Amino acid sequence: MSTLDPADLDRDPSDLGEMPTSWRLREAIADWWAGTRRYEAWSTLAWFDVVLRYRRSMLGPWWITLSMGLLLLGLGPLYSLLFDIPIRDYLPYVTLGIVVWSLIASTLQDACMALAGAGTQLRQGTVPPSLILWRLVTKHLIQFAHHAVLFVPVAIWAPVRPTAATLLAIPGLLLVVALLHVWGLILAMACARYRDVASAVASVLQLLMFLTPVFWSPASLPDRARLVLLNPFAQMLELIRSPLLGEAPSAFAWQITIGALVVSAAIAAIVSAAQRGRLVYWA
Amino acid sequence: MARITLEQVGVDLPVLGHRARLLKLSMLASATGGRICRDAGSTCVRALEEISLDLVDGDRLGISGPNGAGKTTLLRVIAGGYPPTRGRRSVVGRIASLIEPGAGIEPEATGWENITIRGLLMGIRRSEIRAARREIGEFSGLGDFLALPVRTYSTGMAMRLAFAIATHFPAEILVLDEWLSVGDAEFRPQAEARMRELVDRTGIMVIASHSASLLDRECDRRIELAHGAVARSWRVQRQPSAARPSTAIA
Repeated sequence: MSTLDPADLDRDPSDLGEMPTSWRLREAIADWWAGTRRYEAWSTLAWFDVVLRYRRSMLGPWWITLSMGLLLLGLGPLYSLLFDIPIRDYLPYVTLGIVVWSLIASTLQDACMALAGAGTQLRQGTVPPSLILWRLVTKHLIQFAHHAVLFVPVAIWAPVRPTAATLLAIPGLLLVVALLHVWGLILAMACARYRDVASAVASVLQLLMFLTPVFWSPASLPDRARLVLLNPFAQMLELIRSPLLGEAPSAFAWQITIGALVVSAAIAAIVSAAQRGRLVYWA
Repeated sequence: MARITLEQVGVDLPVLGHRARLLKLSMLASATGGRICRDAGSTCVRALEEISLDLVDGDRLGISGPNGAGKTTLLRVIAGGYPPTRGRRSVVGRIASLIEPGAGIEPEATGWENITIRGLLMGIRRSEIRAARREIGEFSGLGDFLALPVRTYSTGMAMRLAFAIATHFPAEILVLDEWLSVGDAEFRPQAEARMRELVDRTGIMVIASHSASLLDRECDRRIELAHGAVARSWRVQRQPSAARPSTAIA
């Protein structure tokens, strides 16, 4: 019986046993990369997810756009009176709030069952968890693109003028996507082991929707309530919303989100290293 | 060069949320299955124990044993789906796993689309899939049905499609759960020829089967599993390829 050095293996030496932590960590990161680099696979599969889901419906993903539009027509004028903000300022603001929040909330909720329901795929040994999560995030991004269309007529009507800062929405969106991927990965692994996590996430997300400035403006917060803005969801929203409204996001928004990404990526790596090798048995 | 090395591999399948029920169950001695174990308060099934293997190019390993002995679990460990919970696994070479050829078939998608979906999940590049699509479609013999959703197919037709995709891309290591034989009288010889070609071209083959004659014919090494452990391991004098009958059905 000869022993092979893990370094000369070209694929998945997933033999764990009593391997040292550093090795497991390296393996977890290699596994993450193996799924991440297959962008052709996850982008195409995400596209199929959307197409197949709506194939027999005429409006398809536009149904949610439509219902969001109705919500905005009803809620926009009412809340602009309640908060005493001119409707031409408030409607673009709340449109982006709802559209971006729905991207965040639906991705995280869906992520809960991403691995728990993927036993067949995981057992094939050719589908790393990161691929499954990228596929899921991409699917939600495609749906987000359908909903974001709502902002176009609103921005023209308001009108919102594009500025140089508008371009910052792109790195902002990329950062949000990265955060959703990492959080999705952590939630999906947690959920594979503890099924209650999905229900917990549902209730926490509901609470967070009110704690995040989706409908209201942080400017109207009294000083002692500003702690609410430490909530990374508020800053993720700011990262996409402010540039699209023509203003650069605050440095604080970048600090909080980048900090959150670094910390969560570290947590994701540790959790993957700790449980990898068991995930498939829980799914 | 393909190579599979397993050192003292064991697999414990955790059983979550069934502790209370199992306390009663453990009273019954089981004739099949792995051993039920209790590990730090939680229940698990010891599906594999102390399996060591070293396979190189040209090796043909046949695995036999009763239901629940761990045959499929061992195949999954080799194919990379189940990471060993104890011991080491190392594999060099691309693996084609025919353990669940129908897995990942989307009923709402058309046959053509399923070729892409399944190929991507298997880790094949889009360009390779694009180049192979026509050939896979032709081989399946499904004709115009390939443009219809798979949910309109009969079970046999869906199997033909899954088989055509799963067997198209050559690999250095072939993992088989029973000899695949699909289709009607017309398709069967074609599928059989495809299997033959695949098996002859692959570097290492690992197959689990309940048919001793099949294993003796196709393999040069045999192991028998019982309760997740190797009960017996021996070598077989394999007949040369040409002398083997063309219709081998397990």
